[in-house]
Amino acid sequence: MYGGRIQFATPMLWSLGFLVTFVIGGMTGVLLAVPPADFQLHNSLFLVAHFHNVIIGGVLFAAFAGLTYWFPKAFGFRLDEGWGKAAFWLTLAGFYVVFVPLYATGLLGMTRRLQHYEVALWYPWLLVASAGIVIMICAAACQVIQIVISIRHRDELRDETGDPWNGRSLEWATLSPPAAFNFAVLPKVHGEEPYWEMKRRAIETQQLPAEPDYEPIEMPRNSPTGFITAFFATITGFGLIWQIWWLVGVGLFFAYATFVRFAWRDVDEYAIPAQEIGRIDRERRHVHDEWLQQDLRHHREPA
Amino acid sequence: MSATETLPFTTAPSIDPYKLGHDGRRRRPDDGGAGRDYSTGHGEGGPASKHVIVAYGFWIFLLSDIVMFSAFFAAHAVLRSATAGGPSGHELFEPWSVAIETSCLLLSSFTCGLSTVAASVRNQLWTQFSLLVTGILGLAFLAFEARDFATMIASGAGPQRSAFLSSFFAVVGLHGLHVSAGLLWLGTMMAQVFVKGFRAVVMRRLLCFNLFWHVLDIIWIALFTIVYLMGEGL
Repeated sequence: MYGGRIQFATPMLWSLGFLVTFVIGGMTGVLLAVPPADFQLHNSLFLVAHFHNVIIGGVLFAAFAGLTYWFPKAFGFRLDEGWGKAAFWLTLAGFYVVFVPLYATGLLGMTRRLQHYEVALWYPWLLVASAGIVIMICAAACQVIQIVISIRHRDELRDETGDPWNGRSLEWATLSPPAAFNFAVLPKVHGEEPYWEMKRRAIETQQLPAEPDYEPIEMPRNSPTGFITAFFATITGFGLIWQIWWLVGVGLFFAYATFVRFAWRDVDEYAIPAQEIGRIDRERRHVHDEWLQQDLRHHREPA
Repeated sequence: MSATETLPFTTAPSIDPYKLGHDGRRRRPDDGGAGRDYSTGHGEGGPASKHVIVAYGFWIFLLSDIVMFSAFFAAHAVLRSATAGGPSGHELFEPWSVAIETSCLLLSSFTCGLSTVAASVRNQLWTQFSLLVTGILGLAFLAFEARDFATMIASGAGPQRSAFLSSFFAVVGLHGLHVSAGLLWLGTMMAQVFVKGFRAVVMRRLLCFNLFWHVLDIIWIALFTIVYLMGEGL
């Protein structure tokens, strides 16, 4: 991000939230690693606050950043920014309102997993933490509403170019959702930001690279084998747990039979003909060309 | 703005000695309609040959399997002396039986290797014979292991007796389960070689089976050392 012009879209907010929260969690972790401090803090709510700082900041925030970022690539439409930002700010605020007081109660000697407590000193802190839970529930509601609203408004949120974030890596070079074969021709990668380079070059030369020679692409055939084997493995597990030995035998037999049936297949791939590849890729090139022309017009106009 | 470019394909030969990044079609003739065993990449070149990709993927599976085994080994290393007043490894293990099991498994790896040699020269008889001997040795291994387990359980030293025995049955049993699954796979492979012959896809599966069987051998060496030899010393 250093030296960049940062745009505060929802995934970026989640990433920034992750950085700050994770760093705080890491620093309180350092405290726990100091034996004299740990002697007091071990198994206290300070520890609970610490690992939530790490795991919510480190896993959950990052997962939400990724979800919002790649959602359009997978489903072809963006998630609503307004509800996404509301979800982020409420989660961030709610998180700190819940867990900062727990650091305090931990320092005041509150251990975790108490069945009940009668220490008046802790009450105000725990009340604040409860208020934080209410904020986080609102945040979770925002997440659900975000998805519902985005599905409803998917036509307005449609990702027409396949590159909603002006991305730098190759996945954004495909349309959203990508074709089954991903890339019509293997892209040449010369650096860390291949798609950015391609876009730069297209703008410099004012045109897309020449149309490649399309060749048929072999794709693995879909197979329900994994699902069916898992089904019989589950039956086997059920039989083992409840000691129904005949069921174990049945489950194992059919799981193995499914494997043999699968292993016996002669055709495990199908070819997408060059014509079809060309048709799909020309559509993509058409979209990209329109986008490029629009971009060039924009650059020609005086600022 | 496009992911597709048609630059001439240029690679200095010195940085790709095994020609993994090159198009197999330029070098290898079609193998008589038996299915291509090389790159299906397109444009100028492509990914490595299927043979390499399949083996690579299978190695990743094997490594994940080894990660699982290492967790079981770690548990056993910790619980080895937790006999809860029950019998220790020294009292339970029968070195002669373990020696026979080890010989069976090591020999079976050798015959499994022979099957690769036979398959590479497309010799149906010797391939089948080496695979059959591999299977019989594997079965013998399993029979001795089952006998060991049965003797131990009959003498009251079952997995419920102590933490040591729980971890013992878990790690040795897990290996035994792998060998059993391997035997089922072996039977399937013998049938495939017999019916389908040495086509590319069957050869790749034979390669994977070989890798699997040899890794089971490696794991047994670790079991033999950590569970039996070091357990005997306790």
